[in-house]
Amino acid sequence: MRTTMLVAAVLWVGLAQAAVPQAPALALSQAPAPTTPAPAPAAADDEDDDEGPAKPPPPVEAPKAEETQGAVTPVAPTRPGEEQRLVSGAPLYNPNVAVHIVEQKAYSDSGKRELVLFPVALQANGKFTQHFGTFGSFVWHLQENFGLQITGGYNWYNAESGFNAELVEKVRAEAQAATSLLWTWGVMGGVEVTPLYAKFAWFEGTLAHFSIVLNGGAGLGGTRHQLKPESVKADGSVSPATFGDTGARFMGSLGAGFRLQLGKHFAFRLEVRDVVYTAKVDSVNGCNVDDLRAMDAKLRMGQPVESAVVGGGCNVTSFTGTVEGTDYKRSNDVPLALNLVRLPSSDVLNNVGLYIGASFLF
Amino acid sequence: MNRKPLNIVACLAVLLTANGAFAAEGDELVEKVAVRNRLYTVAGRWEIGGNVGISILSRLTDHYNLNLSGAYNFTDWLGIELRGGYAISMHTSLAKQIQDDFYTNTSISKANDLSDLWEMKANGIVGLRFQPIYGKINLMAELPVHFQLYGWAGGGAGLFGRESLVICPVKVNANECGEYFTESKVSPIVSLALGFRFFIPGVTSAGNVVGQKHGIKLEVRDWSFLDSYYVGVDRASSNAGNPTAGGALSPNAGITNLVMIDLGYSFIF
Repeated sequence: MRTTMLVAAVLWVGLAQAAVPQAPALALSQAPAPTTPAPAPAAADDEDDDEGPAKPPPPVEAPKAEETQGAVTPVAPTRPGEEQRLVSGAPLYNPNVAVHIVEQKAYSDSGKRELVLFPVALQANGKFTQHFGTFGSFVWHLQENFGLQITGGYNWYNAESGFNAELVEKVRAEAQAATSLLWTWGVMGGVEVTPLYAKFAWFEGTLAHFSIVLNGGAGLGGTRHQLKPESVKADGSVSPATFGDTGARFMGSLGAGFRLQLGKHFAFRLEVRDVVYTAKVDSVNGCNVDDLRAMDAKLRMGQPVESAVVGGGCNVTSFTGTVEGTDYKRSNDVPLALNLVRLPSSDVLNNVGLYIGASFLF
Repeated sequence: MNRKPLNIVACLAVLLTANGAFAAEGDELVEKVAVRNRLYTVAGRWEIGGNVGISILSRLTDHYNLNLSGAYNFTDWLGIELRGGYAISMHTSLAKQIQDDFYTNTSISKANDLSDLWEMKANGIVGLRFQPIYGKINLMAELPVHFQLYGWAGGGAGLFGRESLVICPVKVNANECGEYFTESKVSPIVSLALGFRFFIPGVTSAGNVVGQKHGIKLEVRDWSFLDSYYVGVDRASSNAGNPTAGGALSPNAGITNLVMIDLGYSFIF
């Protein structure tokens, strides 16, 4: 008897639990059945039931032909007599019922950490410069829609664009030194918010959830400038481009993108980020205009650049020897560097990049 | 071992499993109703619309493209669209600066014109719109916006104009060119696009949501066409009768990609 009572109690608890509506919260809009068979009520949408219980249902008219276009096709019952079956507390099979899903996130972000790898970050607004890099981020989601973020990475390809080279070659013109400054590495900290959440269906099948992410931050980044462009010598060999370090710069970043959830722990990210930095070229490899003038004067006298008297921050050795694997003398870069800093230029640069990557949440 | 507790545990396990399966099925059905069934279905419907495109990476030319469009949706995920219009185009300030600086630079005797200088004028294209992704996004929690994500591929033809930056056949004086060399041509166009269409519900005076007729489109569109320009032009010999004196068309002109961001509206019948 005790066992029977226990089983009955368990049954009761189980059934009661099954009958309790679970998330997502559903709001129902019950409309009387149309008098004539119709494909489906045109107003069977997600918006029309917001006022549901507050207002009496409007008089029902037969749906107009144009309104029935685009109507929701109800889910067909799989078994007869299921029209009134409740699913999560709602008669989803009933064609006369509009179901409004409020909001349900498949996976919560609150309290989670996220490691993001952007194997490819490519500059999308490369007028005078072109950058390709690899970046990573760590996001700590303090709340569902707010997190702290740190991003770092390296532009493994950073060079002046083909357009700039064409200008040099054809019309003897080029961008100002500051305008064509190249961005090498960067580390930035900031915040990320996810104000919008969405889901979509691929054809009529697979469902996916995604968030729209907005982020912003500030930090430091390294810069350099091209001194000599890549060229092809008379014997057909390629003389590589040479570059001079122009120091670290304060950088700011603003971004927006999509985060497509792939299961509980993985996500795909596609973001556009605008990295803004002030560019001023007043030294190359730590050498200012006076240092470079001194080295240039020594070269003109046929003396080595090391013999020039320069300031403590000037890295003279970067102008000595030859470029690895070639016979190009680094001292040839001295007049090119002097030309860059002789007329100091400044600009505010926007490096708008497309960041494509994946993330792991834990 | 007493079998009674085992029976109870078995009953409990079966019940919980059944309950879990019931909940999973319920969630799936909710998703199915809420997203998979499209509130805004476009299958079998015609549409007309308009678009404004702005070039997003302007080097030597700027474009503002105004298009009208008509489309038919074979299914919810495939449609055909015809677009036509006119692009207001011009040289950028950089191009004008290059023109002025080069003209006064007499150290260069042979003029090699720059690439990607053709400006699109009248244009017409037809293409297929592949729109398999339908979704909704929650704006401010309680305002769901339905959207489609689509890819577009097609082609057509356009009328193009070009003004050289370096060839000046009509010279006024050493500092001023009277008229730069201009060309025009009709050329084929290949166009690719990726974009969103956000549906806007219509509302009657009584406040009821009716119809699914309005859509706002936001897309990135690439217009590709063949480039051509002259190289090796003898600047001193160039004149109105022979503007490209000594020059020839570049054998490596390539293709110009004009990338625009388009904002559009469509009315769906």
